[in-house]
Amino acid sequence: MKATLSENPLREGLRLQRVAEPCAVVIFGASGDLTKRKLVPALYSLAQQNLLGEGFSIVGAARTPMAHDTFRAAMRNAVNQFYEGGPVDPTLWENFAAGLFYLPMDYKNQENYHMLAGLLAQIDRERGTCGNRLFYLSTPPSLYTDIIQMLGATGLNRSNPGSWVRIIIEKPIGYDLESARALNREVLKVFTEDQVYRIDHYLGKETVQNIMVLRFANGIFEPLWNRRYIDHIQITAAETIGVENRGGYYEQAGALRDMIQNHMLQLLALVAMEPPISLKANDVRDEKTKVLRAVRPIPTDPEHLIQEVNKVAVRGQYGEGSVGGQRVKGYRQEENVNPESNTETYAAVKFLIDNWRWAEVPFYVRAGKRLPKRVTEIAIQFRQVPHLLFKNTAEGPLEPNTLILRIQPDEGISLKFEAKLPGQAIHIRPVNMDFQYGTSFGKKSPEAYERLLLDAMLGDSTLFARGDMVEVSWQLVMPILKAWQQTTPQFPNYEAGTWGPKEADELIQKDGRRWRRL
Amino acid sequence: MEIERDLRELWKQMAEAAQAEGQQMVLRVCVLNLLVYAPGQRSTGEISKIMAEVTTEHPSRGIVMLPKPEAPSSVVHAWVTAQCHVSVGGRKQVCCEQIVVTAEGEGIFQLPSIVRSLLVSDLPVVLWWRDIPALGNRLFKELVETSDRVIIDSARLPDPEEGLIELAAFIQREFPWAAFSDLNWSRLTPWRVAVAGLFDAPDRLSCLNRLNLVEIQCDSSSMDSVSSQALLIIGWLASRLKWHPVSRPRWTERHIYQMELAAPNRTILIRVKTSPAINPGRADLRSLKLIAESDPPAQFVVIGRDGSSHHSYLQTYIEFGGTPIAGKITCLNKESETRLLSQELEILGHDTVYEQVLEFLAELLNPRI
Ligand SMILES: NC(=O)c1ccc[n+]([C@@H]2O[C@H](COP(=O)([O-])OP(=O)(O)OC[C@H]3O[C@@H](n4cnc5c(N)ncnc54)[C@H](OP(=O)(O)O)[C@@H]3O)[C@@H](O)[C@H]2O)c1
Repeated sequence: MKATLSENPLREGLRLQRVAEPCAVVIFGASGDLTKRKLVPALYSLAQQNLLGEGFSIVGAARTPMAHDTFRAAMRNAVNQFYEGGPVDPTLWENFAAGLFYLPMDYKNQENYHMLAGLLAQIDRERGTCGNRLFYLSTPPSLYTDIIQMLGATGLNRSNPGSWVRIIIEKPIGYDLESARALNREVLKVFTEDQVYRIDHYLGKETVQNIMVLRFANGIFEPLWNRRYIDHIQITAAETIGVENRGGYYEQAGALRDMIQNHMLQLLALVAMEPPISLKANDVRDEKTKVLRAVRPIPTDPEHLIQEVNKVAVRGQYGEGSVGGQRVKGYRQEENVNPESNTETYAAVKFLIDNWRWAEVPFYVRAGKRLPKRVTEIAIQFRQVPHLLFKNTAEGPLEPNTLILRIQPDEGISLKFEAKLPGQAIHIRPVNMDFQYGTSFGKKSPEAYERLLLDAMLGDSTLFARGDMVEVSWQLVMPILKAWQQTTPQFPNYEAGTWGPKEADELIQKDGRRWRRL
Repeated sequence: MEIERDLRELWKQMAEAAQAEGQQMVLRVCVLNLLVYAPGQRSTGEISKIMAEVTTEHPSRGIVMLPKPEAPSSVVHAWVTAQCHVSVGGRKQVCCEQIVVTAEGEGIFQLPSIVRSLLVSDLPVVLWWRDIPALGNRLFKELVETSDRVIIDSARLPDPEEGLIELAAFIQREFPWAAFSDLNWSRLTPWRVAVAGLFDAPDRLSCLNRLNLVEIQCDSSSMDSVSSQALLIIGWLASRLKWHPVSRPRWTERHIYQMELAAPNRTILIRVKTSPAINPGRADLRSLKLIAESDPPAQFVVIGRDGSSHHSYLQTYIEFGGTPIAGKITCLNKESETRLLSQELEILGHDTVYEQVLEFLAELLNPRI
């Protein structure tokens, strides 16, 4: 189906090997925020780096009536504003914009899809995009099913021999297990799984990809990567921002859906999975799915559900407070938020993985908004030394070794170990051996959306979530969602600018551990 | 050794200075040894600037050799400096160490042994020979022996035809294990990407088997020489597409350099039109046209276009069966030596495509055919 690039003898040995084939990207919801902030700047950046195929084209589609030229002008402004590489180069832009088209459409009107097909055929003829198409669903999720069905009904889901059709679906994939399953079912009625690319932009981050390199390209970590040496793992995604202008969306989501069900469980899977047999997309995704399947489910017996959930999960919502020296409102006072909202802006969950490698090693996962610091990290805490030789000399308990994989900001890896202070007496202090990508390599990592869009054009789905993986993740959080629905929380229960509700501390303290001070 | 002691002292001072200012520890990362051989320098300024930029992307120990072979004495002198720069995000400093060794007269022959004693253990060694590739030169050979990768610039060859034959022989016979790269070959990378891109679509891919005419325009630094860029691009097309030399290239008119190559089913005429260089000392490619005359006729064109002082553009263009198809414009950064060097350091293995190009050119330019 693909492979023309590898058949081209002139491509051999070229350093820019990851170059996309000629194709057209169709963005549904092109008048929206994501298109202007992320998608078009990322595509322009790829064009600027010469990573797109000849005749590359974009068709923007949305309800807003707009002429091609208006769309082009809007996208030029967007790129000027959001593309990190500065304002556009006029000559390059002119060439890029010649491939930009806009089609006003009502997503539910079949006639509009025939018009889209006509436009795409014309682009194939005039710009040589060879029938290759990448659809991008960037509308509100409630429209996904309509669009997918219409693509099927009008045959836009099918490709000619030698060309390809793929579809990228933005998060959220479903609202709960049932809706995720329903969406997957609808998608798979029209597309085959290998045509479907479910975006989890966390996986596009360079440091997330580096977890695989750290684990499987180094011989020293993997032997320690198990229950014999690891005491527990903490995964944190802390944001300082509130819900910004996305209150409406967040009200329906909450921290568990917005962060834990997708991004955090993906990180957990990357840290906990077994070595895949190859780096092929499905080999990697098989292992990730397998480890998620091994996560111990919360017993769902209705009588004890709330009790069981309370043992392993905590939710919180911020009230007013100060972040970074600035007073900020509470969640319930934010725009488009119900003043009596019970949506959680913080969630902490303890997961256990029932397999040989991880039996009884807890994974503590927390995510929240309006926390004191923006930081996403995975901390692997090793067990204490078996015999405390230094108990009479050290001033307090020795700190266990911790390996920290920092995802953002200051991506890097650090290892904490004990060292002796110089002098006659034995004073032991923890020191950090710190490796930071940013300070070690001056080169900038590509933006997540650039990487993911290019991968989708290249047909590499390694960094995208597979349908079964999404469903397993929903399955894991469903009991928590259910229990939380059945009870009314005492919100707000943490002040903006603090590390979440005290129940979260208790969650980990009752196991004799504590959250890392970040 | 004194230099090693100076290095330790340097790091200590930097760490102390950083701590005094309440900054994080100075970070020291090193991924390779970069040897630079740069004669004819009046000061270290230019090289230091290049090294500062290159080490941002490739933290390395730089060993800069500044030979003055004409000097009457044979004094060798070495000192250390640190290259610090603020990282992306603008907060922390990354520092790399640089050792400068000046050698006068006969002293230059001590350079290889000095360099060997200064290498960081167990890291790749890259030699950047910033001079005419002097293949018979003893010093060059000794330094190549110490290195895993050697970077030269064939644009510096006074006689490209002669020079490339020698280079091919040198690599094949004397140092088959060393990975050679050529900055002039790297200058062609955007051209190669552009040409390759023209054939990505399946219906155009098949045209590769029908091409029968290649027209190249390029600058030339002197009247009767063809630029090494033109030769390299011919070598690339021929070695990738399995075309074989039929006869030696010849000048058919004053500015036309021509040759015929053979493919299993046809002959391919290659015609290079040279014009005086716009930038003195630079002999750059200007355009490349690949033509299939049999039915349906097709043309694949890449043209360099002027832009600002920082970059120019490459424009591609296809005509297929008489219909033009939209082409693409890409930025062709006026690649500084620094950028090119930095790109070269990304790869450590052999560039087999380049080696095959040289092999082809050695055959094509061989006076015996
Ligand atoms: N923005 C982000 O940073 C971000 C991050 C992660 C994921 N996402 C996801 O990406 C998708 C797009 O995000 P976005 O921020 O671009 O969304 P958006 O701006 O709210 O909406 C995208 C477009 O959808 C159309 N639309 C909105 N409501 C509609 C309705 N009721 N019926 C029909 N069309 C409607 C609008 O275009 P017209 O009115 O012209 O039709 C709008 O321009 C969403 O699924 C979101 O969850 C966004």
